[in-house]
Amino acid sequence: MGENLLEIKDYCVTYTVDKINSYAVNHINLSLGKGETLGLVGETGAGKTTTALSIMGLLPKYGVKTSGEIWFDGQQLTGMKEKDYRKIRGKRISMIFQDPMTALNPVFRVGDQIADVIKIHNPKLSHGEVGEKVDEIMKMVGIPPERKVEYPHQFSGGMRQRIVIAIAIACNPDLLLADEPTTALDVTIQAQVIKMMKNLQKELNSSVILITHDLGIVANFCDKVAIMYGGEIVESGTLEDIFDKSLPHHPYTIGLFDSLPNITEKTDRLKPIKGLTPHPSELPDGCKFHPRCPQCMDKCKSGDNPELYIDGTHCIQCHLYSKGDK
Amino acid sequence: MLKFVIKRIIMVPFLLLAIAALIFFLLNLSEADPVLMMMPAEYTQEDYDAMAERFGLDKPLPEQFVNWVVDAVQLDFGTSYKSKAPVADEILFRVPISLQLAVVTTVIMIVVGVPLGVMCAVKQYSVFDQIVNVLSKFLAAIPGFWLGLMLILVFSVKLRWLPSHGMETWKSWVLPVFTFLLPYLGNYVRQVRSAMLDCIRQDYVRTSRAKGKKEWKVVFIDTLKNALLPIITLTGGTFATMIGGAVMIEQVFAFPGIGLKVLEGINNRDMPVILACSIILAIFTIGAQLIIDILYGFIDPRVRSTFVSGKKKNKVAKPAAEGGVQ
Repeated sequence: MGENLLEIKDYCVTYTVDKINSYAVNHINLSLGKGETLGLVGETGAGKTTTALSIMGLLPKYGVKTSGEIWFDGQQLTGMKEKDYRKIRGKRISMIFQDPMTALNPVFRVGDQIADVIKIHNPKLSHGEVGEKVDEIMKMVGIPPERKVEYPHQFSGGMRQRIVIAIAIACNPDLLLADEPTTALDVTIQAQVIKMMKNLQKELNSSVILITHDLGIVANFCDKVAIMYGGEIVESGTLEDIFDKSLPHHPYTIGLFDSLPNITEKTDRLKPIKGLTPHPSELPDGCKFHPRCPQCMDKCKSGDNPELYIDGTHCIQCHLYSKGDK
Repeated sequence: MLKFVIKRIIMVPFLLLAIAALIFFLLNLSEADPVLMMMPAEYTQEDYDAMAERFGLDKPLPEQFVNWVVDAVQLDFGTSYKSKAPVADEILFRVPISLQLAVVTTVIMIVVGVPLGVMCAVKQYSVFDQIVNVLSKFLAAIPGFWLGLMLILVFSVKLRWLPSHGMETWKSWVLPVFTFLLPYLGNYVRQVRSAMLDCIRQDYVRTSRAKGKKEWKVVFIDTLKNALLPIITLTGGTFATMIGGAVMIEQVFAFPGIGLKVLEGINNRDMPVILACSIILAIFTIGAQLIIDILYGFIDPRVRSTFVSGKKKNKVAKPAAEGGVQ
C-alpha cells in the first residue's frame, strides 16, 4: 500500500438532481504507483471524468454524495479541508481538461494564466523568476515564449491544448490527470500532443491517469488499463493483460476491441456493441452490462455484482469467470 | 484602440446633429402654432408678426434649424416661449444636479449591486439567494412615487431624521437617492446574478480552481471579469436613463433636475426647452455609450482585436503561423 501514489478504495459518487439519483461512480478501486501511467477507458457517461474530478476534489458542492476513500501519497484526500486541498491542487495533482476551447479564460493573457499557478504555489518567487519559469514551460510544450502576451482566442485548438497542458505541468505535479486531452483535436494534432505528453512524462517522472475512449492512445501511452462501464471498473490490468486476446476478457472489453476496424481483415461494417450506455440514473440490476451482453446468463440479471476474477495483475468483474461457476 | 476611440468621438457631433434635426422637425410636424400660443386672447396681425419675428419663427423651417444649431453651439438655446427667459439659464444649472443624482445613485448601485449579485450567483438556490431574489423582485415592482412618499412619511414626518425636500446638505440627498436607487437596484442585482451564472459554470472557472486558487479570487477576479461585459452595458444604460428619468423623484422631493423641466416643456409645447433638454440628455446617453465601448475594449481582448487594423493584424498573425508548425 505504502508505495502507491494514489489509492482509491470502494469509492462512490452519486449526483442528485430533482430527487433523481445518478450513480456516476460505483465502488471503484484503483491504485497507481509512482511514474506509472493508467489508461481509464470507457464510453461517455461511464464515470471517467467524475473519477478524475473526485481526485481533484472539484466535484460540484451541491447534490453530490460520495463514499469511500481516496489516498494520495499517504494523505487522505476525501474529507480533506479545502485549505489543505488547495495546496495539493495544481501543485501535486493537476488536471488537463477535455476541451481546450473553453478551458482557458478568454480575458486573461495565456502567460498570466500559466504564471498564476506558479505564483499560487511559489509565493516567494519574484516577478522575473515567475516570468522565466513561464518561458521555460512554454518552450517545453512547444510554444514560442514571445506569445505569452497573447490571449486564448489568438491560438488554434492544438496550441490551446498545449497551454492547458503547460498550466497542468507548471508545478511538476506528481500526478497528472489527463481528461480526454486529445478528443477535441484533429488526428494529426492528437499524435503531436500525445507524443509531447509522453516526453513530458518521462522528463517530469509524473504518474498519469489518461482518460480516453481511444484504445489506440492507450496502447501507445499506458502501463496499466482500467475499463469503466456504468460507473464500475469492469476489467483492469497491465497493458498486456488487456490487449492480449488469448487471455479471458470481460464481454464489454471484447466488444470495445471488436468495434475497432482491423487492418488485417476486410470488413464492410464495423461491429458496434449493441444497445446504448445506460443512463447512470437507470442502471440495471445485477451486472450493469447484462442488457447488452452477448453472453448474458440468468444470474447476471439480478443480485450483487459478480465476483472478481483475479489472475495476478488482471481483474475481471464477470460471472463468466467466477469461481465455482463452471 | 486609440484610433477606434477617436473614430467614435468624431462621430458624436454628427450624431447629435442628426438627433437635433429629428426632434426639431418632428416637433414642427405638430399642428400647434407656437406664435399663436404665445399671443394674448385678443391680438392684431401686427402683434402676431412682431412676436413671430422676435422668436425667429417667421423664417422658413430649415433656416430656423440652422440658426438654432449655430446658437446652440455657443450654449444659447433660444428663448422659452412660456417664460420668455433664455432657456440656457433655466436648464444649464439643472444639469449638474441631475448628473450628481445619477452619479451618486449609480455608484451606490454598483457598490451594493455587484457584490450582492455575485454572492447570489455563487450561492445559487441558497436561502441567501432566495431572500435577495424575492427582495429584489419586490424592489423592482415598487412604484417610485409611492416609495418616495413612504420614506418621507417615515423619515421626515415621523422620525424627523432627514429633510423631505431641498438640497442644502448631504442629508437632503439621502431620501431622493434611495428612492431613486431601490427600484433600479432590484433589477440590477438580478441581472448581475444572471450574468455571473452564465460564467460561473464555465470550464475556465474549473481550470482556475484546479490551479489551487483561493475561491474568492476565482469568483471575483477570474469569473467576474468575464461577467463584466453585460454588467457594464446594463450600468451604462441605466445611468443614461437615470439622468432624464428622475421626473418622479424631482417632483416628490422638489428637486430641480432636468427631468421635470422636460415634462414642463412638453406640457407647454415649449419647443426651445424640449429641444435643449433632449440634446443635453442625448449628450449624456452618447457619452455613456462611448465609455461603455471603451471599457469593452479594455476588458475583452476579443473586442479589442477587432479594432486592430488589417496591417497590424498580419503582424500578430505571423508568429502564430510559425508556432503552429512546431
